[in-house]
Amino acid sequence: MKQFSTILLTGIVLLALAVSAGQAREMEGVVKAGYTSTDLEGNQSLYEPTYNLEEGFAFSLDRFRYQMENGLKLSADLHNPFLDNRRLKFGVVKSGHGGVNFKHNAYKRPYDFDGKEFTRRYSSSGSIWMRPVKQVKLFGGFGYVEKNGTSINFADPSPVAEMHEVDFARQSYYGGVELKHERSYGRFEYRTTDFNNDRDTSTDRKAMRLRATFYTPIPQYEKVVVSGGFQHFQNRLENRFDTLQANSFWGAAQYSHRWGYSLRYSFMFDRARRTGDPVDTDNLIHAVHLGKAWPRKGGVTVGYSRRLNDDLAVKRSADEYSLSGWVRPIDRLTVRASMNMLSDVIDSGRTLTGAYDRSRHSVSAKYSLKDAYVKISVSDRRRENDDIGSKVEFMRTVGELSYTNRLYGRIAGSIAYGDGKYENTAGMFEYEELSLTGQFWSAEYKKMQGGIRGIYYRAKQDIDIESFSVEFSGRIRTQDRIGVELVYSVHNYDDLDAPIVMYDQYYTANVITALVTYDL
Amino acid sequence: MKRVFLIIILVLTTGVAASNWPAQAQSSEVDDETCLACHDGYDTELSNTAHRLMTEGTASPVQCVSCHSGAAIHVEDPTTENIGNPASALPHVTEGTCTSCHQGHVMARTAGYDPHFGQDISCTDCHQVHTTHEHQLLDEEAGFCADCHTGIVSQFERRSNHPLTQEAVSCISCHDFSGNLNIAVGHGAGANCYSCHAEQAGPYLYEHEATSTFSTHGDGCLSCHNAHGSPNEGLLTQHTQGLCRQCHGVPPMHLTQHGGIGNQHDCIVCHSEVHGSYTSRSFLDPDMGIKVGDDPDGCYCHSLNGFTGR
Repeated sequence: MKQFSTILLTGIVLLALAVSAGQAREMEGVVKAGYTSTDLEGNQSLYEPTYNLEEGFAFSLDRFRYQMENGLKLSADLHNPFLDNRRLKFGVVKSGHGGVNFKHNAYKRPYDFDGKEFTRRYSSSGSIWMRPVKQVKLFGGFGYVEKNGTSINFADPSPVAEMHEVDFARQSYYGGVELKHERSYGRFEYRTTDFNNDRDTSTDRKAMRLRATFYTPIPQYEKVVVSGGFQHFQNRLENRFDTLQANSFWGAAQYSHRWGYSLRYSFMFDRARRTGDPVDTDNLIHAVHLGKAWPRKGGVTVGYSRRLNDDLAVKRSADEYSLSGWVRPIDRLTVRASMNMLSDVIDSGRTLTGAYDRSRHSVSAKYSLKDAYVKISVSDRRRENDDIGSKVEFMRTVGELSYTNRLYGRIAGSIAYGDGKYENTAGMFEYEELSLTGQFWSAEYKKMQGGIRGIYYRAKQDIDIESFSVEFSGRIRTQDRIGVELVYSVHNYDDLDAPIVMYDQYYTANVITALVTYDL
Repeated sequence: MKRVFLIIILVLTTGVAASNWPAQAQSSEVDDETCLACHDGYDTELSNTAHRLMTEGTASPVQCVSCHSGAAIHVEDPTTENIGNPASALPHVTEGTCTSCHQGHVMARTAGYDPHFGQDISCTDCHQVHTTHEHQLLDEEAGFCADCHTGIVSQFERRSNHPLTQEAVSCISCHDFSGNLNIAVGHGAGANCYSCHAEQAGPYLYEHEATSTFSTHGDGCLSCHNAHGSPNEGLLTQHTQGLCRQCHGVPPMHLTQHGGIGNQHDCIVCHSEVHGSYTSRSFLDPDMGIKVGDDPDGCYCHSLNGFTGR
């Protein structure tokens, strides 16, 4: 709360500064005030979309933009600042000169039937930048994450899962400089992070990261650009005298020809070691991509990469091939497809997972009209570990359509069907799932608008879940700028295959929000 | 520290608000007035964006010709064919234009950790210069990512998911192509997760190699979790017992001792420290001995670091 007050206070100061700095040139945004009422029944730990629901006075300032004559811009999106599910964002920017931005949000996750045992995560961040001259940009910022409350073991499905207290905070500060000269660019950044766990101080740690990156076209031959960087990372457990550190290097060169050909080579090398370890772990990747594009008609890219991992005890390598392309046979139709195959080999030593092969394929087509589109996509993924007898397969098909009519409004919908299959020594785990979404939002008629949207989800086979949510909303504009909004939503969740009767696996929520709105 | 930081912010903010640096005029073949004589209203459209037309009072002047090349010929013969338009140019041509100011994004792309590379997708597929949206994105909602990634977005409707629909996170919370987030190999992939889930970051005395991207074994958090959404709880790719057995066999003793405990309970009941442990090589619950047998050193025959034979 203290932190929230600090941020709010700073926001007010910034607002006052900005307002006093010049006369308003343009202003837009919507102020909303009202009340959110909730009626919850069942197990509140089940249904994620309403985890962060709060009952009480609702207030928001949406898409606020305020432009001064001198170019200073103030922006703010404040959602429920007086409730525990707040999302706040505001900033002051002067293009080409500098800016200050803040973000803050709070997120609640309940873990028990009544929702009395929960954790809440508060995240805040701020950034500032300034460009004293065209070639130099100074930047800095902070981040703060705090989580406290009562949690259960994340994977324990039993009804008597043990509760435990959570109370930690992580704060980080960073700063650096960007340097530019024509199209060349360099960036240097230093970041430090402190993690403090009030429940177990032996896990407190301190991390730092130093990073330098660059990008530049080759002088006299600007079709070739090169980029690269270096990073040093350290993570030290304060009370255990244990430090993990890693040094990473990466680089790339890209050539682009005016006929649409492009060729790129890139590499990345990472060496990690921790206190007490006699050896380093090395990760190295080389990748080459060759592409050809035909403007507005299509393109194709073929790629190959080789990955090496080596920690002396184990040495493994992987070859990866990729092919992707798109084609627009007629202006309204775009078809995309891609495939990717990876084969991993254990060159020496033994690992738990052994060698594996992996592949991914996808194809999609989109047909667009002026006010409508239809889209379909199919994708699949496979992974096989013969050494340990495990295998994973996924497939997913998605269809989507949208139609907008100036007189009547917009209607859209989607259907997604997928299945997954895991095979291993425990047996087989299979599921198939179906997601349906639909929405309609009417055009304004006699200062009134209305809409409905819904989501239906069903998962079957080794799990058996059904959930849906439907939202009805209406808006009436009483005067030019003043209006009333009413939103009613109902959510339902059922685990139809709940393994233990005493732990109810259903949840229902009715939520009503009534708001008065004012257009700035 | 916080107080010092706030003071620095206020001082710099005052500087930003009051500043009016001397002009660094950009040489131009055609000035903005000439363009606006035909393209009426474009200056107003851009006035509330980062690309506000200005040649004075800024360290980074922006003019029409900053993005649209070939204006001199276009003025003589105004057709759509002879004016440079980043929105319809080849990806690398658009990149060339945008990188005259925005090198950071393309740097990330060139170095290979932007998967859009090679998909014939350029800056203008996600950004539109002539809009007032934040960061000049086509749309401020997740919708514009969904325009291509249809199948991914529907995964956020699963039983457990990251709170995208509640707007607590957005696509770019994890997928940031500006080059400022973490590189996607080595420790980078996990570091993205740890920026929120700091409690799992380690380093641990006993690392679970599957979760450690520093090892030769692990794929990081994604070894067990599907970050977008999962039909199982906790974003897990499958139920716990099956999840563990995706990599591990069951030791023979687990099947015979304690009435075959290995087939009666989920692995996680005893091996609760799956992200890594400071006390047990086998990731055993540090309180297990107390819970089961009032033995702070372990669970009867088992010390926290393995079988003792007692």
